[in-house]
Amino acid sequence: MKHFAERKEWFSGLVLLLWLTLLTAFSSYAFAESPTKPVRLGIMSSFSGTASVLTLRSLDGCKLCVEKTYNGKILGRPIELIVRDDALSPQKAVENFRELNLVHNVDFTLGMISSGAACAVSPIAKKLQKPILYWDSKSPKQIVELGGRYVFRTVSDTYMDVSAVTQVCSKKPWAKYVTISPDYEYGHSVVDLFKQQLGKLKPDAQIIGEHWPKLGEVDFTSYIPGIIKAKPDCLYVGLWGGDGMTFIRQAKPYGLFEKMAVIILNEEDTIYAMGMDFPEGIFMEANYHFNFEDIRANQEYVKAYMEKYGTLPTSHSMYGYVATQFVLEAIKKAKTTDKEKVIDILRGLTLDTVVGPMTIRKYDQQANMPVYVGQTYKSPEYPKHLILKKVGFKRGEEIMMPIEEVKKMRGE
Amino acid sequence: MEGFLLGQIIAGLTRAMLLFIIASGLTFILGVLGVVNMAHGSFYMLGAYLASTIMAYCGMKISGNAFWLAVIFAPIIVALAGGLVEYFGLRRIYYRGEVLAQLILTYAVVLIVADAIRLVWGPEFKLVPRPDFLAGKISFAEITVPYYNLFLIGTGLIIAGVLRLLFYHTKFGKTVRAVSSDREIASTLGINVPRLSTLVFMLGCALAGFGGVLAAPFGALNPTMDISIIIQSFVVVIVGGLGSFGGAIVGALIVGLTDAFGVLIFPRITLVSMYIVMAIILIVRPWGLFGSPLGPLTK
Repeated sequence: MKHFAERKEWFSGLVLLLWLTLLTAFSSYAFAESPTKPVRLGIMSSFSGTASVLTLRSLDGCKLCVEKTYNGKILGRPIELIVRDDALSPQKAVENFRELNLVHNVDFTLGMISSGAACAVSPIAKKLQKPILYWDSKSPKQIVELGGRYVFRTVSDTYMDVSAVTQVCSKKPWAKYVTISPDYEYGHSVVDLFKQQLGKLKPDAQIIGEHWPKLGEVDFTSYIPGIIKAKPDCLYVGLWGGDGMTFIRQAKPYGLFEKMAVIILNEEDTIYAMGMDFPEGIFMEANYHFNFEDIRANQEYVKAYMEKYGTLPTSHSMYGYVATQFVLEAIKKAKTTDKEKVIDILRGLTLDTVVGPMTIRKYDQQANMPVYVGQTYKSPEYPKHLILKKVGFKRGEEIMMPIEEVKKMRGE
Repeated sequence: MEGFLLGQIIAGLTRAMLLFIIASGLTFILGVLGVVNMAHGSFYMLGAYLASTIMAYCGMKISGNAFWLAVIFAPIIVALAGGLVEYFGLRRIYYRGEVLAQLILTYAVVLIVADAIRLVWGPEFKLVPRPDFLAGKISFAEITVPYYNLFLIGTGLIIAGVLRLLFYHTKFGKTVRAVSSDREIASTLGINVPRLSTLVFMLGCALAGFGGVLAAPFGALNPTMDISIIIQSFVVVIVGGLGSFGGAIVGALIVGLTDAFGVLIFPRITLVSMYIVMAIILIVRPWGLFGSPLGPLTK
């Protein structure tokens, strides 16, 4: 009897396997040429953990673009998003990229926030010859050294951000600087670039102190008295996300923000998260702020976003929105989802976006997203959070790494 | 210059006292039950998140005192959660004498709590306001000290005193020390060891939860705060000696002050300064400063 039962199991397993094979073969055949076959976009980023406060906004922006601008359809086919989380792990990001392209056969992949993970994905994209567009993740390395035909980026990189910030600094009477930045790749690169560019624009400026707390530090009280005692004219802060928030709230009771000018990189989203706790007069680098006059022109985007999500759009919402717009517009113009044709269109494509006209530079496939520097202030119109006043602005092409420099670094 | 050094010392002491409150619970559980509680950081995190909720709900109705409600109730809820873990989990594997089983069980709790917190409170960063009366600061000479830092230092010292009284001057303390030195003999003397074990575990967890409540208005809450604190707490316990209260205080002071001055003296290696000190201490005394060479249960 036992023998028989085993054989029966074997048999039913075999039938099941055959059935599944037939089913998949049939379904892929049935969908292959059908006009209802969805256009698939692979979305990958770190949707859990420290970065989620930012990445979920980018996903919101992406969904808004798909639903609002394109009504969920392109080339007469529905748009389908397949979302994967890498939890900041480079290895998981590479797995996701493979899965999206080799299993789900997506038509284009976009996303990412961690530059470490993006540096791992760029070479795989090249190897598999499948395209990726980074809507966030700002290391110059992932494009300059690891980029190529299959790697695009719409967001400004740290080179551009720091350039914009340094140009604002060079116009202020600040001579002495202290830096505080997390002790890992991004943190070091923003400080190194700052030193380099400040040295060029303002040779008399001095860095009189550097602090390197670990990423995810929860207690900055050991750093704060030292920063105040050094009496710098300006504190340059590379901390982001939760680290930035923790630092600000711990430094505030010490009166640090009244004693020196403070510049924080890329933290426009934090203003909303911290509410009225956020100090006034902080200089902040941002790619987007709903209230900047040149962005204000784009009220329907803000309105649509508020309607759908009930909050103001942030820099990160714009990252997702703009990147999705670029990919979908390229597919529309190419009139096909054929990857090579879409890539050809995308290289050098110029679009009107919510931050003004943007072009993806043909040579390194980096877009010229503009960079603003704002200063926080309280406005009676917004009782729940501070807003930014524009104090500096650079168009992308003014601050992008010159092509000669990219060529030099690529050894061409 | 002296004023500045004082400021740095206060920063170090603040960190040390917060660490001590959390690590004392860890070392207590380790010393009495012999359990390496990986989930200690999770109970700390749970305390912090509960505090944020209690303060958000009660803050509107009973303004000002919501912080005290959080201080009282969050650790109690955390202790109950700890009690459940002990009663339904750990109790069933003590006598196997396998550290591995305890590690797996408490690590499972780490994962469960982390995911539960993501589910209930979301993955985003949260800020807990400081109570009004502790939001100010005092400035003298050239230094500024926020009241909250002084409050943390004071609370740490009070907890140290209370724990000392509890263990060396009450019947409960005597019983706990008896169980800690020999479970079987204590049991033959009529002590209800299983019940006492649950109580000990709950008290340890309450200390973690209490630390979480105090830490909540200090930094920002996020679902990965459990991991960062558990590593530091283990450093404190290992440096001080497994299962030793005095060791936990001294260990916390060493870690806190090393951190505060490491930042000044070696800003490039703040990541490792704590571990360098730990390594040096362990080379000289492998069982920690106040530990015993024969293990935590042999004092």
